[in-house]
Amino acid sequence: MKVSLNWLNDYIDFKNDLSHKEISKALVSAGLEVEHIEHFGEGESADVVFSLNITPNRADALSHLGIARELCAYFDLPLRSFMLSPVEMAGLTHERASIDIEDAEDCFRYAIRVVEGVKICESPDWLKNRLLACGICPINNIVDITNYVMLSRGQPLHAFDFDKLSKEGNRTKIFVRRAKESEEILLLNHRSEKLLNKDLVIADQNGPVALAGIMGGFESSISESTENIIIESASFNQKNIRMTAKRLGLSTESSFRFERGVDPNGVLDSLNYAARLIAEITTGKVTREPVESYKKRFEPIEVGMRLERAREFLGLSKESFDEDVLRKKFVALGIETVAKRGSAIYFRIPTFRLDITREIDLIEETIRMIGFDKVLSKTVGNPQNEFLFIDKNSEKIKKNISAYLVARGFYEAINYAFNQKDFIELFLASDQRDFLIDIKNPLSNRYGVMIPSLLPGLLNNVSYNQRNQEKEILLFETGVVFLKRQKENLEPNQKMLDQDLSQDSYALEEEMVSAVLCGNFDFPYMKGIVENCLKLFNLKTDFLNKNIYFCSDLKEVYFHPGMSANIYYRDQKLGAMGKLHPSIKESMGLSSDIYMFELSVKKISQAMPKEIAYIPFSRFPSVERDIAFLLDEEIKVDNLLSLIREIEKYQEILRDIKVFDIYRQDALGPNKKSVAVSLKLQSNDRTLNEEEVDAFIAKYIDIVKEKTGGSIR
Amino acid sequence: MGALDSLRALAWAELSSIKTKDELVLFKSRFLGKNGQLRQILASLGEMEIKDRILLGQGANKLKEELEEKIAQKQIDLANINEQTNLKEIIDITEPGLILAKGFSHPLSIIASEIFDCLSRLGFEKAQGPQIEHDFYNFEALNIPKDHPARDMQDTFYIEKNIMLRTHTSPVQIRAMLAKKVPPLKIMSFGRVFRKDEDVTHSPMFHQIEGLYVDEKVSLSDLKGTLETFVMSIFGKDASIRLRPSFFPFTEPSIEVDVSCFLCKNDLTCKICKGSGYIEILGAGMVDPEVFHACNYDSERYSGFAFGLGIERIAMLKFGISDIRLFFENDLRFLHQF
Repeated sequence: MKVSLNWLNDYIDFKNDLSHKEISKALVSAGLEVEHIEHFGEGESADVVFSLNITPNRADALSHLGIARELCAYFDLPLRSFMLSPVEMAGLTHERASIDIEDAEDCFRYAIRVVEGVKICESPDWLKNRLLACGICPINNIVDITNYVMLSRGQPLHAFDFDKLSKEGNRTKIFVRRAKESEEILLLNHRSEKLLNKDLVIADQNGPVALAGIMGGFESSISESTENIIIESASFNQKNIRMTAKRLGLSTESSFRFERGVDPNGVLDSLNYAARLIAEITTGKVTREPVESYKKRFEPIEVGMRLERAREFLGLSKESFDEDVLRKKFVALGIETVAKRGSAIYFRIPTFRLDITREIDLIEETIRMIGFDKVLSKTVGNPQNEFLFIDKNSEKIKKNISAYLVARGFYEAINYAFNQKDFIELFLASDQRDFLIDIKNPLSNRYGVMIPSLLPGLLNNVSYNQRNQEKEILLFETGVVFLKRQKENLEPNQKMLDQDLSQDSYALEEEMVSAVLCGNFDFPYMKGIVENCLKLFNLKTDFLNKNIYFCSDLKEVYFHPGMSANIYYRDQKLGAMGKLHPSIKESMGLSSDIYMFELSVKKISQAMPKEIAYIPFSRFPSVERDIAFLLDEEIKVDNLLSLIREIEKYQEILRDIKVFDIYRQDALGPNKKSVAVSLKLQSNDRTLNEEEVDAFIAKYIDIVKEKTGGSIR
Repeated sequence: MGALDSLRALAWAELSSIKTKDELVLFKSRFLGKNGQLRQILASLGEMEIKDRILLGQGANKLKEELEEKIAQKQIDLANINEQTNLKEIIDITEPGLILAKGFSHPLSIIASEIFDCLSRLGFEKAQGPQIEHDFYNFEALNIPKDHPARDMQDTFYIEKNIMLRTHTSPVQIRAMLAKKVPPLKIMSFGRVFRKDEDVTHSPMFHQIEGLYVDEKVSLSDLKGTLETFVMSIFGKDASIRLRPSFFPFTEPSIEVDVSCFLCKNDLTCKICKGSGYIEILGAGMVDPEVFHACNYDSERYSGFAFGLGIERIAMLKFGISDIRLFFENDLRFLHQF
C-alpha cells in the first residue's frame, strides 16, 4: 500500500523535525515493511510516498489513519481528529431508501446516505494529487471521494446513481443477498459475470447492481449525467468476498480490504466523512440521518496480559519494560487499560484490531512497541560461538577418518594411555627416549610410561589377536599421545587458556589417528588408504593437483627404512607410514608383514583447505591414451610423470596423468620394469582433433625416451 | 500394378521372418527409405500414361500406409517378445552377497557419540583439555584443597609433585570458565581419565563425559530437565530418574542420579539393579560457589549445574558386558559385535 507523507500530516503533526528516513525506520520497526520511498510532485504539492508491504493480519493498517496510529504510538505524538459529520441539508434518508439484509452473517453492517443535486466533474487538484501519489487514477469527483475515504480510513465505499435504481414510489429498496443461480451482472470493468449462489450481491428489485465488496455494476454507476447518489458503507464477511474475488479473478482495492476484514464499527464514520466531503466539494445536499442495518453488534473484547510473564518471555530487562510507557503506547494504538488484577492487566481491544485475541498477541504488540533492539541477547540454548573451545575441523577429521576406516574394514581399538617402559623404548631412538613421561606411582610396571604413539598398543593388539588365530587384522585408534616439553611447564598459567583450552599443559599432547594392517596387504594398499583419508579433506595426491608429498626422510625407528615415508603438506609433516621394522616384528614375535600409518589430527586440520572452490569443468569430450614404458628400476614413477612438464603449455590440454600398472618380469630383462601411464586430454574450449592428441603423446614419448633411456613396450 | 503386388508379397514374407529391432530398421529403410523399393517404383511414374500414373500412385500410397502400419505393429511385437525374454531370467537370490570388508566402531565410541548427539541437541558444545593436568585444574579450583579427604576418593597417578593424570574431566570446566570470562557457558567434555584401581569393574583408565551449564538463573529444575531428557535419549523414553543427595566437593547440592532399571521391574534377583529397581549412573549438582570464585565468576549473579558419567559403565549396562577389561583388550571377536 502506498502512503503519502502529506496525507499522514493530516493526522499527525510531525513538527517538521522528523525526516522521512526516521519515519521509514519507525514504520519498519512497527512491522510495516517499507519496500521503497519515492518523491512525488513538485513545489507545493511535493510529497514523499512510502510503499508499504502490509502483512495480511494487519487489516487495520491499510489506511492513512491506521498508519498514523502506528506512528503516533512510536513517536509519542497525539493523533489529530477532525470533523466527520456532514451538514445535512436534504430530507430524511429513510424516505429515499431502505435496506434489507438477507443474512447478517454475510453482511455485518450496511449503511447508506443519499446526496442530492450533485454535479459530476473533475476533482480539485489537491484531491487528484493525493490519489495519484497513492497510485489511484482520478475518475470523477464522486468516485474520487469514495476512493479518498477508503485510503484515508480503510473503509471501501461505493456510490450508486440513485436514479438508476428501481423505486417503489420514490423510495428505493436495497437488498444485500446471495445471488440467484445464473444471475448475471455487467460490472464497471465492462465484464459480464455469471453469478453463483455463493456470491454476495447488492441488488434492487430488478436484480444485482453491485458485486458486494468487490465492484459496482455498470448500469447503476456514476456518469456525467448523475444528479442524485446513494453512498454505501458496509462491512461484509471476509470469506464471501475472498471466494468470489478469487473465483472471478477480480482483486480490487475494495476486495483487498474486505478480504482482510473491515471494522463494522468504522462504517458510519467513513460514510459521514464521504458525505461531508461530497457536500464540501460538490453542490450536493446530504440527506438527514443515515439508514443502516447492524443486527449483530461487534463489541471490543478484553484480553489480559501478565506483565512479568511478558517481560520474561520477551527477554527484556526491568529497565526496558516500563509499564506506564507501554500503556501509553497501547492507548495510542486504541488499546485501553480496563482493569488491573493481580499481576495481569486487562486491555480492551478495539474492533479494528482483528489480530489481537490472546495474551500472546498482546505480548507481540508489546515487543512491537518496545522494539527488538531492547531484547537482551542471552544465548541460553547455545553458546554464542559454536566450537569456541575446540577446533571444528579436528572433530570432523576424527569422525570422517574413523567412518572411512570402518567402511574399509578396520576395527576401532582403544588402548591404555600408558604402557610398559622397556617395550615403548623399542620404538624410540635413544635421543627420543628422554621425552618419555614416567608415572611416579604406576599400578605396575606394565603401565609405567605415557604412550608417545598409538602404534605400540595397536601392535600389542595384533600380537594378541594373532594368538587367537586371526589372519587378517586391521585396527585403528584415535587418541592423544604424550611427550615431554623441551621446557617443563610445572606451574599453571591461566593466561594461556585464552588461545586454546589445551594450552597450559605440562606435556605436549597430540591427537593422532593411527592404524595397522596385518594380512595380505602391501605398501600401495596402505598408501591408497592414507591418500583417501587425506582426500576426505580436499588434500590431493593426484599428480597434477597434488598438495601432498611423500618423502623418505623418517626419524621414526619403528618403520622399515626402505619401505616408509613421511607425509607432507608443504613443509608440514602430517604423519608417517610404512612397513613395521623387522627387528620389532621379530622381538614381538609377530607373523606376516605389517604395515602401519599415523596421522596427526591437528596437522591435517591446519593443512586442509578451509573453503572448497568450484572449478567449472570442460564440457568437451576427452581423450584417453595409455602408454607402456620399459624403464630401468632406478627411474622413479614420480620422475617419469614429471617429464610431462617439459611439454610447453601442457596444462592447456592435459587433465590427468597417472600410472595404472607396474609390472616386473624376467622377460623384461634384468633391472627393468614396465610402467603403464594413462593420460587424459581435454580442452576447455573445443573438441581436440586426432592430430594434436597424437602430437602431444608423441612429444611425451620422445622426452621420456631421451631423458630416461627407456623405450615403448 | 504387378510391380506393386510383387513388392507387397516380398515385403510381407520378409517382415514375418524378422526377429530383431535392427533387422526391422534395415527392412524399413529398404522398402520405405529414400532409395527404397517403393520410391523406385514411383520414380518410374514419369514414363507412364496419366491414367496408369494415378492408379499406380494410389496403389503405391496404399502400400506405403500398409507397410508403415505393419512395421509399427511389428515394433510393438518385438518389444513385447523382448520384454518377455528379459523377464524370464531368474537368479538364485539366496546365493551369498560379495563379502566386502566391513569394520566396526569401538563400543565406547558408539556410546560416546550417542551421548554427544543428545547433549549437542541440548546445546552443549564440546570442549577438550589435556590429560596430564596441573593440581590446580584437577583439584584445587574444584574445591578439593590439599589434604582434603575428598582427594582419597580419587586415587591419583602422579607425574610430578603437582602434575597428575587427570582423575576426571572436570578440569576442563575450570579451563573453559577461565577462558570464557563471562557466562553463558554450556559445554560437554569427553575423554580419558585415570584412577589407581583395577578389577572387574574398575580400570586404571576409563572415559568420562561431563556437562556444565552456567548462566543467570540456572536452577535445579534446568538440571533435572536436562538429566531426564538425557536419560530418556540414552535408555529409552520409558526410563525415569531418581535423584539422591550425595557429596561432591565441587557441587552444592550434590546429587547421585539413578535411572530406572531397564531389565527388570523390581525383581529381587535382577543382575543389574539387584532388586532395587534403580541403577546408579551419574553424579550431578549445582556448581559450588567456591568453584565460581576460583574462576572469577560472580556466584551471586550466575548459577550453574554440572553432571558427569562414565562411558564404560553405560556401555556395560547397555550391552550387558560384565568385565571392563574387555574394552581395552581389542579382541576382534569382541569388537566385531558392535
